[in-house]
Amino acid sequence: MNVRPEHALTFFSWLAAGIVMTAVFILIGYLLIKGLPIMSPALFFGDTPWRAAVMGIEPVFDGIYPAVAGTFILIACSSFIAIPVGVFCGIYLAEYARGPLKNIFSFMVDLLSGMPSIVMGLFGFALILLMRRTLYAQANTSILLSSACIALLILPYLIRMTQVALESLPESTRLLGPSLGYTRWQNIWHVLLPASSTATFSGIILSIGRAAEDTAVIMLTGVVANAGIPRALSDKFEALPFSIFYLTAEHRDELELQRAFGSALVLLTLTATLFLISYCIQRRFKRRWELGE
Amino acid sequence: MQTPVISMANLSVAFFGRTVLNGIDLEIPGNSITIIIGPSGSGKTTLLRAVNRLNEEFAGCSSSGTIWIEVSGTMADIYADLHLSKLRRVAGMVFQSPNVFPLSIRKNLLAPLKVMHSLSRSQRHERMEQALKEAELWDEVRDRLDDSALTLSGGQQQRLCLARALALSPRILLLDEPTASLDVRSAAKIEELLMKLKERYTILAVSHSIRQVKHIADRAVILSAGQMIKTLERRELETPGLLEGLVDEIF
Amino acid sequence: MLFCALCITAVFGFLVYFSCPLLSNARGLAGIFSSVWKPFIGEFGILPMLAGTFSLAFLALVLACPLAIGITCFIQGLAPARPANAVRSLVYFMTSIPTVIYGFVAVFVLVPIIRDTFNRGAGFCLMTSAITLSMLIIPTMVITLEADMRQRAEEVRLGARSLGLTPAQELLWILLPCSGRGIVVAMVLGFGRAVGDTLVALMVAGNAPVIPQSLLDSIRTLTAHIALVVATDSQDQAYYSIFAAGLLLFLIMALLTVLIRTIGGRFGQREKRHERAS
Repeated sequence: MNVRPEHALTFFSWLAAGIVMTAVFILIGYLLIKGLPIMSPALFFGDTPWRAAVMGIEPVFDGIYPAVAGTFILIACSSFIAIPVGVFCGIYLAEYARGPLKNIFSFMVDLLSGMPSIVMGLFGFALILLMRRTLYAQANTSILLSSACIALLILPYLIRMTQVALESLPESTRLLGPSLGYTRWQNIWHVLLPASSTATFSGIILSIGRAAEDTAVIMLTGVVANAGIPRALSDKFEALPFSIFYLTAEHRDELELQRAFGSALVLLTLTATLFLISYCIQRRFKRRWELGE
Repeated sequence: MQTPVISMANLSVAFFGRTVLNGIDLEIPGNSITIIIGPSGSGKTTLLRAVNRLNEEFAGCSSSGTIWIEVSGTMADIYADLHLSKLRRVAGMVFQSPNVFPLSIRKNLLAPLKVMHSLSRSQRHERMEQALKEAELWDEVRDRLDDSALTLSGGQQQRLCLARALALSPRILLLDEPTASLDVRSAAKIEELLMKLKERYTILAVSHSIRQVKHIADRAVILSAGQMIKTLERRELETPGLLEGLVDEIF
Repeated sequence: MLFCALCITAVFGFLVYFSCPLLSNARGLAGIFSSVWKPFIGEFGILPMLAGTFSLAFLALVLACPLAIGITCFIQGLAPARPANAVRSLVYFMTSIPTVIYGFVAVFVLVPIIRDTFNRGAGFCLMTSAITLSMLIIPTMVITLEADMRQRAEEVRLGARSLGLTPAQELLWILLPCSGRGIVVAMVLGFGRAVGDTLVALMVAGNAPVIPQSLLDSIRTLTAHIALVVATDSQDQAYYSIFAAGLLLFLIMALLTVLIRTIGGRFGQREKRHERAS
């Protein structure tokens, strides 16, 4: 039988989809099988009573709670820095920037989004080195520095998401404000931003996912294996992705390895949840678009 | 009347339960131009697409009734007797706006031909040249076959689409308002071309233009709200005012 | 916006400033671009890392490219709607799996397989990391390629169907031939992600600072090198070398960004010209 090229393509595409799907299912399945049985308060808090741990009264030594908390604090701080800046830059790019200036700025954003995260980390690291040499000899890597660098990392995504959300609004929505005599800024603030808020919001959620998962940046800017929960912004901290990396390489006993699996499952759950939220928002948004409501 | 090339019996088509065509019986003789005319939404395009089963590419389509077309001397049921891709090659289609593939002019013709495995390389090129000549495009593109098809003018693109269908040696040409998106001169060129092509093919077209119907049609099928109102033969089309009167009634 | 521009300039400025001491004299420059990394005897060559980065990214691309094209075709018409949507959602989901988790699972699942199959070394090698990395860059490539193809597919679909082409034939003879540019853009983006990745390389590539000779050799990438040096060494010279590595990464990525913009830009212009012509 002679094999027709289009049949070969069909076969190959099923094969490709099969391979990649299998790989992903192995990945998730492996984490679930290894991680689920060890999910317990002890995994998170070790020997410390959980109330005391959550309230921050007693430190946790043998659990992943400090890493979880560190990751959440990191997300909160970096979002606090990046979201306003990112959204405003997005508005600027979509509504104000014109001509060559727009080209230059959007090139900058592309460049920033292409930067490897380790280079962002290196930037933060260099910042500290510089400060030590010049202004402030005690400067050290900390959760504040990490947040700033992570913010820089997710900034381009935020800018792009906001920009695209605004630019894909239909002409009729775009002209609504001017037709009512709004100024440009009033139009953006009262019409365009609310109309594009779902898309922007899902972009924000995705960026948070990136902030949660990145390891390379924080490795260079203040994460350590055992720091407990940071008390101040100038403290070192723990974070889930780094614990996973560190424990994989350095685990001394079965218990620490289990903690690595636990951390991995928690981190995956976190990013998967964020992904699902953003996915649902987008789908609902898309359906509303298609129905033309 | 001579034996028909297309024959429809009790054809009904609905999309998501909404009837678009209702109980159409129609026989179309060979080597002639039949033009379907009617108001927007009367089901003209759906009727045309029923012949090559293109309606099935859209969601929610359900159809009933039968269509036969003549293939090498016998009437074949398009649902039962013909493979879908064979049917679509026998019934070539040209759309309202030119939809050339974003490939070179050459590849626009060769890509569909490649799928027919019985053809050798030189046969394919022969067919291409022949089809381009038939569509009266050869002289304009012979030196630029490797240019993108998108560089052609609208009228040229439409003739390229025609050539693309002709290359597959069809029996029937289905034309969905083939001149609607063109300027007057390009439209006239296409009309002139169709008058020549009807010698070899059976042409079923949709049109908006009464002038065009009177000018080139051998018969007109008037459609309104999914029903066939009337068919007019050439002789009746030449009667002044008859077509116009009917059209005024239903529009 | 100015803030953003400022940041880019600052990142670049810092990298140059800190690698300056090494790059400014010929000996330092030669030292950096040597193939020997032995910090204890004062050799700080990062050439092995450069070779590691490129061989890893290239190999990952070779693995990922056919798979990405296959999956895009799968989504874009070769599979029935349900499986196609399922695979599309899964590919989007893959973007949300943390890099460190790809690396983590690779360490415990893939590394033993490779070690036992080839019976050589520890399994932490070029091949293992390339396989893992290809999983990381496939979603990027598929999403780029699909976005590029989807719009064109809309335009081409009815025409192709009316000529009696099946979806597979349409993809093979019409869509893929005119998606060359999309494929190139997807490849450049995928390559960029592969070059920029740190964690997979750090966790599964073995980190030996030597120029790789075979697929089973342990390698160290520029990114992993930076992470390793910051974590361990404290000599000034070693630090300079990581800034040089950072600068190199910056330049590679800048080059790729320019490349994508030129391809994309020229493409956009040509499309526009065609619109005017028709």
